[in-house]
Amino acid sequence: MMKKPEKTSALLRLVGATLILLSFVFVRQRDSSDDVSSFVEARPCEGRVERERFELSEARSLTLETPVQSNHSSSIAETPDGDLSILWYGGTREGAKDVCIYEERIAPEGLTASAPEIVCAPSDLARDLLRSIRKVGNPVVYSQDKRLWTFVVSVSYGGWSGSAINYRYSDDGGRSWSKFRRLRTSPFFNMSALIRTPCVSKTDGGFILPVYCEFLTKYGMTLDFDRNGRMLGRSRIPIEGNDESLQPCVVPVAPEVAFSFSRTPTGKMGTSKTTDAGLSWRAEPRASVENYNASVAALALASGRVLLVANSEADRSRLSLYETSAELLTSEGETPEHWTFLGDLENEPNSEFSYPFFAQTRDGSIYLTYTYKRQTIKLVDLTDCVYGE
Amino acid sequence: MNELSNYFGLVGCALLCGAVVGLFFPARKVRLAVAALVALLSLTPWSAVPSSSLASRVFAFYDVPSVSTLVVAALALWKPAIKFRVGAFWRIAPILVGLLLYLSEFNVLSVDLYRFGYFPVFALVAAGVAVLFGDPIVVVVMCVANVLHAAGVYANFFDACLDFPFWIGSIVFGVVRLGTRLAPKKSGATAE
Repeated sequence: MMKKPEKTSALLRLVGATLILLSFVFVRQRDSSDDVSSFVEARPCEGRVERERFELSEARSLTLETPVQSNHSSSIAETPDGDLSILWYGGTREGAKDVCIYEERIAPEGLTASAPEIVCAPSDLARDLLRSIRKVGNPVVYSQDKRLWTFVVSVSYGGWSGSAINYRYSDDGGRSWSKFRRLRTSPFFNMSALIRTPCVSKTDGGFILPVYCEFLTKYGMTLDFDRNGRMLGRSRIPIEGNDESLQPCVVPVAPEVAFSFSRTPTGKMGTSKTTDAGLSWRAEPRASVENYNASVAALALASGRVLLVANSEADRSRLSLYETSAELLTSEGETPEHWTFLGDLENEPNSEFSYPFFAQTRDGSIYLTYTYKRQTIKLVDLTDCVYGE
Repeated sequence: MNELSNYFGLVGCALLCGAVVGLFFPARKVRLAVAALVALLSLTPWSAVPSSSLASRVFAFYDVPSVSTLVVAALALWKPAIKFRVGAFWRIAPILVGLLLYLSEFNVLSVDLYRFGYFPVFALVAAGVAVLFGDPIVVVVMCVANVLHAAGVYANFFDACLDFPFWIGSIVFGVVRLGTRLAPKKSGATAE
């Protein structure tokens, strides 16, 4: 006959096993999709032919009128309604208490801007997350079919190395939003994760979000999400020599192949490659493009061309455009001495032009935003540079 | 993580605030009463801003406390001198797992152990092993952690089972216990 402690222990194990079984059923119901995902292919421009040579002179630009003196780290995406949504953070200076996330909507036809609005202040995050928030920064906007996502970095204590990533979404084009929620990216107090570069869509409706960590050491990684926005996992992005890297920009060149170009303290970008749609990454030889410790932007076109925007001067006074091809990028055994210089978007001594961000709309149009002298954000329409009639 | 995670985390941090103060009192009824009072006070905002409460500030730094931390805090409030009957494996496991997690997080190790915690199957297997072979307290912690992970309170199963303060506490507890075992036993004085 079982003694009382043994009965209790057996009962506990039975209850435990039942709970696990129920959890298993719940998880199986939630994970009902077994679709194998790959990257969404780049869109061609409807009704237009790609030029043989990139014509930078055909670019159209718009400098936003911002209500605050310091503006930085912009992000752009096409909303479900067809407008362009540009997010950035602005205030008296980077990291100040008055820094908020601003949004401006642009009608793409005439590059007509509306007035910028504050869409997120530290108090908004504090209210939703039930915790104190000191500052916000680095927004990333992403359009997932009919859902619009906003990712925002927040800091409660210390500097950017103590940051965390928060997100919310809208199913009506931004008229109403869910509450902000926090992403769990680290076992160490969920600290030190930031965002800067665009999400990459997958064919099953999911997406990956490139992030980077800055506490004690710096490295990039991707977070994998399903179509409902549930986080499925993460993958480290190593670079050559296992050196420090930040702000990986992921650009898919084939259904399961993508490259990541990372900011490094040296004068060259860190390069990494995935061949399983972002489940794992490996280091590649560094790209030959000069980029001095600055965020880059890259975009793959339907034709296989890959555009890259990088800072070719250490003081970020020069923002340059390059191109290569997916074929050259994926060729084995070659050193990446194959980037073609297309021209300078900006080149003015003692000024800063930085943090570029690419977006391609559903009709194939190409837009680029970047910080303009830390005073405002500049939007450039590169569609006519790439496509002729 | 969902909104339930925010409420759970805030209340958990309030409970930790209460436990830290309550443990100074030897009498159980007083200890529990003080802990409850401090927990409630910690949820009270200091200003018109809701996130100005002590619990909000602790939550902003700590994030969601692990189930292990909350269970240890609760048991310690009930009986500070409680002896946790946990086998050697389950005493050492949090130390080793934490070491691997934090060394890889700071890029000292190239293995990313934390990524497995996002997989629901990993949580189920780990909880299953605990149910089959763990001591009662381990069974309770792992099952509760598993249920909360499945409910979305914790996005990663490792966070449900282990957090940095609990890891530090495990090391301290292990070192003290090892020191006690290795200390030479005092022989009784024999009367002549």
